[in-house]
Amino acid sequence: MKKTFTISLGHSIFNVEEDAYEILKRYLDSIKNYFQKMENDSEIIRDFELRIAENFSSKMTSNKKFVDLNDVKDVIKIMGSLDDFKEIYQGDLKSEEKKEKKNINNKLYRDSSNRIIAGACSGIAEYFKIDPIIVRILFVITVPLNLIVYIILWIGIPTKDFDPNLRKKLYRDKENGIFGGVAQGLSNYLKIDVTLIRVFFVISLFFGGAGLLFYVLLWIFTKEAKTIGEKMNMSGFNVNLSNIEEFIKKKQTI
Amino acid sequence: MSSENFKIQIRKGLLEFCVLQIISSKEVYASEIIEELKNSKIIVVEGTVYPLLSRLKKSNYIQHSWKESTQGPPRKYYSITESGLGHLKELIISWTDINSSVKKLFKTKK
Repeated sequence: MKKTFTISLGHSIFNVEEDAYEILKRYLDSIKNYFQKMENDSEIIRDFELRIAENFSSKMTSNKKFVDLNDVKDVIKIMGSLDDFKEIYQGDLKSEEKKEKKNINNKLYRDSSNRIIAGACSGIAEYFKIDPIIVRILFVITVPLNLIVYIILWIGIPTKDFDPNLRKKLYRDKENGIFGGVAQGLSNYLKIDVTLIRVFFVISLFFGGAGLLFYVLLWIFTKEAKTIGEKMNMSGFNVNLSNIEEFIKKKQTI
Repeated sequence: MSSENFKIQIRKGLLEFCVLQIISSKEVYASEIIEELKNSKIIVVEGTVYPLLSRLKKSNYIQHSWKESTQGPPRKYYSITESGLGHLKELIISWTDINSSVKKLFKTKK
């Protein structure tokens, strides 16, 4: 048994299996973002969806009434992934892209797209490319000293909207964890061996227990990765053909 | 520069030319344009056509209108504009120029 989603795409209705839906959504989001940035034209994505819908329709028969992972893979193969589109801008936009990258890397902003108070923690997290929850918890642990730091940051740094889709997210990975899956989640996120993180947590118990506090707070404030989408977010997922193929392979072995 | 890269660059350069040529002959909808380009191996992935169509429209070389279709949802039909035709003429001239000079170059080599 598989769960399906009903979606409306390019004036048509389709039933899409859950995993296929997650991939398709990611694919369309990545394309939407890209063309919005490059051409500032929302019509491209509408035309894109129309063409994908045509493609899905041609695959549906009286025996096959839903879209599965292979259909989505085929469509991405036909339409092309982000890497293919970057090709068409080769040369003429390279310098611009670089410029933007530089700006993001070099400057600390408060993140207005993802904030609790003023976006200072989130901005720092964006700067170091880590999950805001980590910075927030570190901040909370070291209050009141950091309260002053926070206010200085609040006043001193301008805000900026960051693209939430490019962000990796920290989840607890309970399936592979021991207690709450915090260490395993961190390991997925930082791409560090989980044993190392566990050892670190255990050692920190003997030094005033800051590690324990950190662990408990992370446990409380992070979500457990439950849906396929969240599991993909855990270690970052870039929609291209080889990633999808890997994903399908992994599913078959489970 | 590999031969693959060479092909990519050439295709990229010719894509606008070919799309305008296809649209100039008759009113077509996106999927027809894509089929023709695919058959003549000008494009590999379909998605690359859409940003180009968007640019051509912004430059006022082409326009579109929605038409009902007998099967499925309404379709977007593209047609060429006056200035698009002018632009295409220029492109044809440049292409013939380049084509003949390249041909000449290869003849003298032999």
